[in-house]
Amino acid sequence: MNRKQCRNSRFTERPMENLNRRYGLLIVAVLVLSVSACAPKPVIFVAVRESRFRCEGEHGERIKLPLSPESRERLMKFFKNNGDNLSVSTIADPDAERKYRDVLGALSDSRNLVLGDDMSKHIFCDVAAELCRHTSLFAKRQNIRQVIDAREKSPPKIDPITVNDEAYWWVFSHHQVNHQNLLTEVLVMKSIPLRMKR
Amino acid sequence: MHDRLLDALLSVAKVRLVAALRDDRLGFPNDKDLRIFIPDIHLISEKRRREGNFIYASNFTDLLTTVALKLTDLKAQAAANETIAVYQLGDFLDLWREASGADDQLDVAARIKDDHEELVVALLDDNLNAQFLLGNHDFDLYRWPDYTAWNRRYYLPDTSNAPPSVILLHGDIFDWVELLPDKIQDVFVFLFAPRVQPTEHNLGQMRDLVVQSHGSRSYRSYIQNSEPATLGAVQTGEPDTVPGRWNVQTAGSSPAQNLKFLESAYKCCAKANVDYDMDLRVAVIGHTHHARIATRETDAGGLFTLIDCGAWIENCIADGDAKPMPNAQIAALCGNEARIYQLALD
Repeated sequence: MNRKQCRNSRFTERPMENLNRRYGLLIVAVLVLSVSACAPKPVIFVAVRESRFRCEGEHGERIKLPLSPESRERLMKFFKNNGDNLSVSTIADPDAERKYRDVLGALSDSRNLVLGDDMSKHIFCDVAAELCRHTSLFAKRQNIRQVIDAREKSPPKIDPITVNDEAYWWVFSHHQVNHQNLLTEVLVMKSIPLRMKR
Repeated sequence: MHDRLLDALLSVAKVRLVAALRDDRLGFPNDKDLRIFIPDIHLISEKRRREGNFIYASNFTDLLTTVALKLTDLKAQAAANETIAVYQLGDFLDLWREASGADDQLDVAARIKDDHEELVVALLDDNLNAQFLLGNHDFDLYRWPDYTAWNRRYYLPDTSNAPPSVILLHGDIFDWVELLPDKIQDVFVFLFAPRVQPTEHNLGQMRDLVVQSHGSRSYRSYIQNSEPATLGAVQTGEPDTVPGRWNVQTAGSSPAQNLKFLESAYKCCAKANVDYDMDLRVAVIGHTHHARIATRETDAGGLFTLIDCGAWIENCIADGDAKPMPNAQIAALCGNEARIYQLALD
């Protein structure tokens, strides 16, 4: 069989092979899709961490918004300690000022605490658009509503809005004032990496 | 204690007596123990209500908020030897209407609550300590951490080791009894047996039944009743004295729709009594959005009572009324006496 014949014979066999392969891929795709659709999806929630790794007000209460100069300072100190209140070094994260200056500034201004009308959006910045105009920290981050805080008597009545910036969880309480949803309090705690880097 | 509840309700709302039954055979004799039942509310977010073109929204949510606050006061004023407990009988949040069928979006419940902050805060207040049942429109909440304490049934009396005489259920099981009789055996035990707790798999089976019961319904035009529920002879004025028996539905003297689920509930309770050594004589439910007390004689000469507490959505109509009124009912049980009230804005 010369090269041309060979090419022709392969050519004539191909349609059947292709068809089989296409059907095979189609079946695999359908199976994968149906299995993934039927598989139980995990409930995503955030657990409040030990006091060493969370930043709070004087008596363990959440930090009121807008931030006062004192609470802003408290949060910045927490970030400089790399989210560890028992850190010996006071500048465990020397880059903290640069990373968190904007967001703390934005949280100090009540105009940035207004939330959008549509609280059903899954992306944090779609809900807290005003805040996100002043910081890229939360860009494209998911908005998670379920928070477990074992210090509380009961689960939250109105679920907080929670966002992760890789290093920290930001748990925002919100409240309706004159038909406007406002961020009213914040709890910041050190994040646990969800995935191992390889 | 019934009268104290009535006074509390009269202080914030117009009240009419829908039904009352005083009978020693109810099996809840303690007159220092008042149990109050708030039926289906079916909250959805305002945005969803608009975009989904739902005809029915929850009725009088401001009034219900005020009632919840009043009940919290009533509880706070109870003497040390008195018990006041409040139950919400399921379908508090309507996940099905909010998200076009239950799904895994974890913020469905959160966004409904965002839109009804005052009511949610009042009903979930730790001082009220309301006990919640999972309904068929919010059954999926069982998987979420905020709702771990919500249950599928409660039993009364619950202050001694005596076999319970009253069961509190959402009531959708009686849909399954009538529509999916073959499937009910798998989950019956988890709704009626007091000592059996369902595994994750069992709860999944129950969820499958709930999903099957929903079918392809969108609930746009109505949820339970395309026509106003017929309440019968509701008292016309505010109740000064409540008779021992008022507007009780019985076979032979009441229309068939006023007896809905009476037979199913009786048979389920009779079976549970045999299977699990109980003494169930009363089933307290919501689900049908049709407030009524219905009774039947038992095979052993006793009395079986269905207390259907109504709803805070859709409409109802009383005999002699020219037009329907929004469902807004509260029921109570104390000292072998059950009552259902219809509330309206003062």
